[in-house]
Amino acid sequence: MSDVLVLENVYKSFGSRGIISDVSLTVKEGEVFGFLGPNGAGKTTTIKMILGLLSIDSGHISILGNDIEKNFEAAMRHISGIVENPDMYGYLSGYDNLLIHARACGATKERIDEVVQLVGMQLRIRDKFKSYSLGMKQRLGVAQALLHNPKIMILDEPTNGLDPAGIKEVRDLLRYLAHTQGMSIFVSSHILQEMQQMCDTVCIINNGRILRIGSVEELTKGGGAGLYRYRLRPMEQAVALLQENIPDRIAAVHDEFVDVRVKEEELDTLNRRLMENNVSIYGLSAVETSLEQSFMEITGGGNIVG
Amino acid sequence: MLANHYVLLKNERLKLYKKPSTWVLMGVIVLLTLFSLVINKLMFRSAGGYSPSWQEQYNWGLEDLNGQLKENPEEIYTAQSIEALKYLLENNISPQDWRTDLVFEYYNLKAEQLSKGEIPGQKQNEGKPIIQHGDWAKPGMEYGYAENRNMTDGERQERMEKLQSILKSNDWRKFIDFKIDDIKSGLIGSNSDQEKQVNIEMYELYRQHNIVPISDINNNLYYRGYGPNQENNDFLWKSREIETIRQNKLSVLRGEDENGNLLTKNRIRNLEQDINVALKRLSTNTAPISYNSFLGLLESSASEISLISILLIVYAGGIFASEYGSGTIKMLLITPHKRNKIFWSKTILMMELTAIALALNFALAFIFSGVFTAFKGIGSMQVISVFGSVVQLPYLLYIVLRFLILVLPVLTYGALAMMMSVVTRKSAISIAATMMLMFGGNIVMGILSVVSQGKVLPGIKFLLFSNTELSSYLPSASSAFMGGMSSMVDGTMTLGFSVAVLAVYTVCFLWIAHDSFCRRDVK
Repeated sequence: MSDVLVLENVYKSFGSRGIISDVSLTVKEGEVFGFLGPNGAGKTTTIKMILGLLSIDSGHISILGNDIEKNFEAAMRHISGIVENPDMYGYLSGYDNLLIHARACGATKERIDEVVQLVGMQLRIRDKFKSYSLGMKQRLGVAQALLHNPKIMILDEPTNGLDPAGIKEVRDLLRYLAHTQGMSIFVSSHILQEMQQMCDTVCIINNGRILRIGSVEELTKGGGAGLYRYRLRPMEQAVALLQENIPDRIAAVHDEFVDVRVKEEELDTLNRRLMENNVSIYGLSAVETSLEQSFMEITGGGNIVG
Repeated sequence: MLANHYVLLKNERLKLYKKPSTWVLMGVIVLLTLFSLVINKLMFRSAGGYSPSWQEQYNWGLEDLNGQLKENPEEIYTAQSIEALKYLLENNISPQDWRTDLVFEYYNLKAEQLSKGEIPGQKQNEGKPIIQHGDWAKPGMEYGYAENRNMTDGERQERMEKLQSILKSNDWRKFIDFKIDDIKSGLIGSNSDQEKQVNIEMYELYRQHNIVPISDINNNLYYRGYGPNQENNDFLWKSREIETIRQNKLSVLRGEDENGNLLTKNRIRNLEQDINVALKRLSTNTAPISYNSFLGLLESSASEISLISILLIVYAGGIFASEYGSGTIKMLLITPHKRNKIFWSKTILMMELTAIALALNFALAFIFSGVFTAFKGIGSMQVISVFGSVVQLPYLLYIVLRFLILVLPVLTYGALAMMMSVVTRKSAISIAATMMLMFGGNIVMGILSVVSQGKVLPGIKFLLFSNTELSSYLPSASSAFMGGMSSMVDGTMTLGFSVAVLAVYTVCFLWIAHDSFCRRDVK
């Protein structure tokens, strides 16, 4: 797999707002790359630098080997993105908005119809952009980003403000694009669970520095334990049993449930032990995943909502 | 590469022309233009109106004089004035006719003769002299008439006979000879021999160009204003041109104008240019364009371009700022095009929009003026002094050229609005700031001219505001009549200078806008 996007020792500072120092990362072909960090960590700044909206103080960014400062037009031919919100011209129809972008990127009209079909906007495409719901705007944004068949797509919080069905749609679409079309996707999101489900590689950034880059497995393995909520009956017997097995890892005991802090791989043994002792498990859910746990540990418990 | 640019321009067009507010604003501009055309036309209408004929006016004068004579039967001057008016009416000599002056002079001399040389106003209880000294014997405009007319009875008699014979012959060439003799003999005063020469040359011009002179309407006590029969006829404008030549030559000789202001070098150059224009008009028989002809109306209507500058400022002020405001700038900049291409596509669109608005404005003015005047005289020629030389050209062509030059400051303000738009990234601020500079500039200039008390402040001519009134360099049908142009801030300024200053400002504004747009971060 070749490298699609490469950042080398990138630095950026302006005024009092977020400073990026020494950011280096590589996104490979067909990879979904998660970019994770608390508010003000420098995620959007990094994305804007990759898309050429911000200048780079030092370091290099290249897309398929084209340096974005020296060879801007060639680099931009392979990249697309949505920064912050999918902002388009409200008084124009969805189709006109796509047409403008298609002309600028050299995409054909047939391609417009294709991407409209892909995001399922055929019925509303002639309506004005300002009449769309947020979900539709988001989908049109993705359609626009797909117009010129980019090798890599940059998405800044693509599921922001979407309902669960919308989130699932976007997630499925991104997976489809990455894993069947070979497109690389660089995505920042504040929903960690989603990152875990969607991304192949996750990069954690805080205060403008990259803290860790690795596959989801690497980050969760050996990391801290997650917080899980058991709904058990009978409760007294269950609590006694848990205290016997994992004495110092019971986080909280309520009437209906009990929270325990265990590693993911320990769950199986624990479940078996409970069932062997005639304790019924009515429910088991993750309150805080292991990725979240490692994220908290890595960033020192900062605000996750990025 | 060019196709690449064209795609961006097409995008900008789509964005602008599909915006409803574009058409609302355009509609308002068209309506306002039509409105101003109607107002313009109505003003010409009311300027016409009813005015009594010269015969009526003379008859009123007669009634008045008869009334005075009843009260004062011995008053010789009043009686002779009555005789003069009667003679004019009987012989159908209109107030413009050169003979009018001779008639008045004749009867005045007669009154002098009868009152034995007494000058009116000296006798007690005499009332006002009706025929006044020095007021009538002046073809064209005011000539310093002879101060000392202490003629002997014989001289007076001789002169009266001469006047009579000229009137009888009805030959204006004899009248010219008579006048030249008056100047030579010092009866019509000149301050110096050079001035005398100028005055003689003027009369020679009448003969040379075969122009029948007109009487001195301004000093005719019994005729006021131009009646309906006082069209801008052939002799009237020619006499005016000759008078312009005479006045300007005398001013140059004296080194001061009619109001006693000292002439600057530049003013002298203007006066000399006007002389050349007038001479060329006479030699090519090119009448000035009148206000209510097709071309005159077109010129005054098409010069109303302040609306277009407002239109351009509103669009240019929003063209970058609105992209920043709506966040669409990000989508615009992440396409595979360098920022300078995007900058130029927007700049070209603004020029295109200005061109459309100007064409619309001119077309409306053209059709409107044509409807009222049936396009009469559309091919008229005109003599104008532009760029320091006197040329004769079809006036329609000149109007178009003048219109295009007057547009230049509009473009500069458009560039300023674009710069503001990029730098502030706020539509409202850039539009308001540019408008304030445009209108406030004139106020600042006014204050400066008061503060400087007529002195020229150094460097002031390099200010943008000093160079935006290009119409003061380009005579129009109206200013051509006035002779001379409104004085500029600094006497040394020329059209070329102002255009160069505007160009430098435009380039600077665009350069700052371009540099800022291409370099600044999109936060």
